[in-house]
Amino acid sequence: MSEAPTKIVVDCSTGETQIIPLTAEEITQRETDAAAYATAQAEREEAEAATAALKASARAKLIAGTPLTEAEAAVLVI
Amino acid sequence: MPILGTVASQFSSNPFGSYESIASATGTGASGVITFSSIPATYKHLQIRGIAKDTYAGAFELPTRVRFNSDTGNNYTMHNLNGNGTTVTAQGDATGTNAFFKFRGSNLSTDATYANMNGVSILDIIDYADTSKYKTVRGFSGSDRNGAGNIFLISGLYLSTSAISTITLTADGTNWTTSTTFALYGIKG
Repeated sequence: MSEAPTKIVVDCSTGETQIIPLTAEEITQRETDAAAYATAQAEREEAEAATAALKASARAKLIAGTPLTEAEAAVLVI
Repeated sequence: MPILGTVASQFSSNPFGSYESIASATGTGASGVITFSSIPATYKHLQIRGIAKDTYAGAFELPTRVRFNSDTGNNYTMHNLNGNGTTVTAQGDATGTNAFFKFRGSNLSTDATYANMNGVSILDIIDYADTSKYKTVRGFSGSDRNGAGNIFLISGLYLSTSAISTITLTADGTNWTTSTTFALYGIKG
């Protein structure tokens, strides 16, 4: 059986530090936060990869003298 | 012009007293959450200085999740600028969609690639006790990983006029390692 997750709480008025088990609500919140962040991070990385691919394609077409798509032009010209 | 030997007596007990240590906390390896509670409202601003690593095993630079007053509502917005030595990227959050600040790059995992390396961060919380305005946050974070690295510049807004008395710092992976320390400072205005 794994240990219950805990939190370190520092009371700034007394300087006392305590290690307290997370409540069920806090555990659920933590899992929700982690899932939300993982989703957002994956979306961000996907968008960054797509932009990088568009830039690479646009550069190659510019060098080759071939027409760019609207999306390729958009990543080069602001 | 102060005369040598009498300089000290010409200052108050806190001669350069902009910053005062309020508290600090060190990871245990078994807790993923560090909370500073009962923060006095007697300063103008707060600053958190962190050196962080968590027990997550993947090869990632990880964010620190920052939450104020245990507020789990979607009251946190952020923009950040990230440089990795080659590429610069920018990212902004949509309106009111975050239940915490994602303090990116402030924390490294326990992957062998990152042995003995930590993420570092400085987070300023402006006018934290002012009940007439939302709270502005600015931050610097990142890590150099001997051939790789990132730096983040961060601005954020906490959509609440409540004075901040509690700050929670959560590891995005699993638990804060024993090489993790967060120090909270009060800044007098």
